[in-house]
Amino acid sequence: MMDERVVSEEILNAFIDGEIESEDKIEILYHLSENPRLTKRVCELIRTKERLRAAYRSATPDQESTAVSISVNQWKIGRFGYLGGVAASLLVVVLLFGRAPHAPLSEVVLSGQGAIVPTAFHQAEEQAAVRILFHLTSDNPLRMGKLLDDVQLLLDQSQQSTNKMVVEVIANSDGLDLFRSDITAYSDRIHLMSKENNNIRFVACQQTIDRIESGGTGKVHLLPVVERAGSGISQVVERQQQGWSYIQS
Amino acid sequence: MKIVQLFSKSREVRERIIDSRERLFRVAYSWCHDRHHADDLCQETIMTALEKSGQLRSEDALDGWMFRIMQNAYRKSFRRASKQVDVESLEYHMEQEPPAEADVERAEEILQVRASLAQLNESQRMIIALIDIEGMSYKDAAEALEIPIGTVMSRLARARDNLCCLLQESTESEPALKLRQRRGKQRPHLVVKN
Repeated sequence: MMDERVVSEEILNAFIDGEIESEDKIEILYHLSENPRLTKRVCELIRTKERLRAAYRSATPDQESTAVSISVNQWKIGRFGYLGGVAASLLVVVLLFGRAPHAPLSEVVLSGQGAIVPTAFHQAEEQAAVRILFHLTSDNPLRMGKLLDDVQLLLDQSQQSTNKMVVEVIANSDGLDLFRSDITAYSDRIHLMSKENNNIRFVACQQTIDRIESGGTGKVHLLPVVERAGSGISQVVERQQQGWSYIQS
Repeated sequence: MKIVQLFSKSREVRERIIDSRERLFRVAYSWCHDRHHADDLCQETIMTALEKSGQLRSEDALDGWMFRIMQNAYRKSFRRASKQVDVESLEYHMEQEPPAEADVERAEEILQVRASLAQLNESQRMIIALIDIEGMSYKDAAEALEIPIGTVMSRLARARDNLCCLLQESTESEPALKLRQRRGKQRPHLVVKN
């Protein structure tokens, strides 16, 4: 097992950027599962990366819009920003689904048809010693393929290991394309993975779906095996708080 | 046949260069936080890339090559002009009037992150923008900035650490928001005060 001192800041950053080879990645994952301090640091880095990405998504050559503007007099803005947004999203989930604060989100995830369903995955989750979350935000087909390769590798290893494992793949933003039945090139592969393993689940971000649909491009159609969570980022944050190991793809 | 293939390949590259304007702008803006400068930088990059597209050895290297052109242009012309970003001049525009509360919160979040990024030193700002905003691999970022991958890793780690600290500091401060009319234009203008 890797020594804590070996997992430098550079390695942690490379880990969340998907720049670590699969074998080393698994070693780091096991290490993270044993070290809450490192896991917390990974969460901070991921949150920073996501916030940065989101803050410039709307920066386009055309004016962002013209009607109302907000400006900075002091660069410090305060606590009503991102964290408040995440907290608000979580609160919305609780209010919508009447969910107890500490219950796993899997209990309230909607199926592709919008109904609340119990999952075989949830049983596997309770018995799992290792829980791994893959997070996809990119529509790059190479990244999608690599993510599925990594997931398959882990599933194969878990079958040979005594340590039970669950894997969740969550997609938001541009990464949602992986789960869109009219766009994805990986439909058969995802279907097969889901059929052959009860310890994997695919989750789409409802906020991303709503944003796409409100853009006037029509209804978003997901693969039948894909479930929905209210907010992809909230799901990622919650999973990390529950001790899940995280891989950014 | 080979000539036809070469011609169509060249046309594809040129189309890709032109189509990359939005991505170039996003990164350029995150480097200088000035819309006009970012737009100029983008246009200069695209013009240079189109002019020299024949020098490109492989289509796979197009992204790294274009961002290398842009970073050279940035260092030459814009760096001297504005080494320091005027954080207080940052603005974020919203469509609705008056804006919904959720939109104001989102705008605050965006400004908080942009203002924090603007305070990083230039080299950190450039690397973190390429990796996080553009989504480049370390290899492509190394090529774009003409630095070794080891330097990408160490510089990125310092940049993210500093950004984490700046965001943490800003989150701990108490804001006071007020709505005011923008002089002359009679538009509601949200000002964030410490």
